[in-house]
Amino acid sequence: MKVTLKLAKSLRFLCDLWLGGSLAGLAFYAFRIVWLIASPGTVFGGKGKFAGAAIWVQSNIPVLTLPGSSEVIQSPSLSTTAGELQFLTSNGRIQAVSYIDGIILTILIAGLLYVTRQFLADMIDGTPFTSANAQRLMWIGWLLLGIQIAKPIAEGLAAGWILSMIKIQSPSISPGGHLNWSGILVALFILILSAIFRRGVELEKEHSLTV
Amino acid sequence: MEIYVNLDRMLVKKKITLSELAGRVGLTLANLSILKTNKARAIRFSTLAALCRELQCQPGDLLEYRE
Repeated sequence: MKVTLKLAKSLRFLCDLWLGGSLAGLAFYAFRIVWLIASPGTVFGGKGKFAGAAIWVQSNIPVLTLPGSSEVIQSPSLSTTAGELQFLTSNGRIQAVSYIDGIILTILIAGLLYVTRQFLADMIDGTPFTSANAQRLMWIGWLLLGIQIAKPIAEGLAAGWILSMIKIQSPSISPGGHLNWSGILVALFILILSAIFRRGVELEKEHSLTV
Repeated sequence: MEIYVNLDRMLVKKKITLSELAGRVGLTLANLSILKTNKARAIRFSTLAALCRELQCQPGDLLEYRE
C-alpha cells in the first residue's frame, strides 16, 4: 500500500508536469498558427516546379518524389513537432494545417491527464472509492478511446488537406491512418473496469454504513 | 428504514452513556452514532452480540420493525 501511495504521488507529479507541457504546447500551436497565417510566404516551390511530382502518404509519412530525379524526400509523421514539414514549407497555410492533428490530440491528452490527476489525488487522500472517481475512470476510458480513434482521423485529415492544397494528383495518394487496435482494447478494458469500480463504490458505501 | 434501533432507549434504561458503551463493545463512537441515529444499513452479528452482552438484553430489545 505504501509503495502504491508513492507510485500514485509520483504519477500525479508526472501528470502535473505533462499537463503543463500540454498547455504550453497548445499555446505554442496557437502562436505558430497565428504567426504562420500572418506570414504566408511563397507557396512551396510553386506549382510549376513540382508539377508531376508524386506525393503519397505512407503510414502518415508524406513522401515527395521530384520528376527527373531519383531523390525521395521524406518527412516524419505529421503528428508531432514543428518544422517537420520543412520540405513543404514556405507556405504558412500548409504548415498551419499540419498542426491540426497535434492540436486535437493535445486537447484530448490534456483532458485525459487532468482526469487522471484528479483520480490520483483522491487516491492519495485515501478515498479512492467515490462515485466521482468511478465517473473519472469512465472518462479516462472514453478519452483513451477517443484518442485512439481521433489520431488516425486527425492525421488523415491533415494529410488529405495538405495534399489537396498542393494540388498534385497521383493515384498513389491515400491519406489516412491506421487504428491502433491494442490501444482501443486497453480503452475498452478501462471502460469495463470503470463499471467494476462503480460496483466497488456501492460496496464501499454499504460497508461504511455497516456497524 | 423499516428496522429501527432503539439504542437510546436502552441507554437510558441501563443508565450508560454512548461513549462508555462504545468503549465496552469495542466500537468507535462514530460507528455507534450511526447505529443510534438509524443511519446504519446493516449490523454485524458480532456487534449485536456485543451490544446484547453489555446491555444485558435480547436483540429484540434493541431492534424494532415498523411499517
